[in-house]
Amino acid sequence: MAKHALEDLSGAPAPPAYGTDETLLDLLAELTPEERLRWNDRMATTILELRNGFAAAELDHAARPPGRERS
Amino acid sequence: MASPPQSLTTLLARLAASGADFVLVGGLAAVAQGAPLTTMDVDVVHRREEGNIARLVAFLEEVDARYRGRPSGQVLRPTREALLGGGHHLLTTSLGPLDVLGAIEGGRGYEELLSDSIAVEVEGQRVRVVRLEALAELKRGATDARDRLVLAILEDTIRRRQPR
Repeated sequence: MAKHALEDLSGAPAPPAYGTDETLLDLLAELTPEERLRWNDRMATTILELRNGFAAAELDHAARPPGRERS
Repeated sequence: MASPPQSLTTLLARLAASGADFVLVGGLAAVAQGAPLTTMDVDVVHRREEGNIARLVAFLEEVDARYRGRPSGQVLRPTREALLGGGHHLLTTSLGPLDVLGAIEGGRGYEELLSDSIAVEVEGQRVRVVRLEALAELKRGATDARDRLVLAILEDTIRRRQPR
């Protein structure tokens, strides 16, 4: 998804055509190598927790009759 | 400032606990469903209705949300008026980076995405995540080179998940 900062509000430069979020790149560039590693660890933990959530949701969905998904 | 939590699911769970309606989209939604992509932030599409915006603004104040990409020392916070629009709000918070999107590809907002989402429980809260197939569909009309690349990865991931 090409994300566009609200230039008039954030003062961020216009995003390039390939959609890189430069505000995020700047944020990461300010981190030390240790902080970047910690950030990666956080993302890995986040993904693992969400994948566990998905696995549980799929099991729950499979156990229910059609049309009975929890909202 | 206190260290951020170990996982960005805390950000998602706290947002859900605030009572604000949103769906998780973007890279994290795709990676969570098995797509081999990298992602560094959390993207959500929020419901643009007055009551929901009030809950969202209260939450964003609580986590000290501010726009990224501002010149040093210039703090700008998201407002109710801005969040009612369809724009993208690229924020940093005390719990991690959070992109709050009024609408995404093709102008799709919360209501259009909700039916293509699945409820996932994280940290005791139910979070709606847009399905991989819907994420791929969103990318099909994209002209952006990066989006085309992501589409190819999403389609491969969907194919691999289907029973053979």
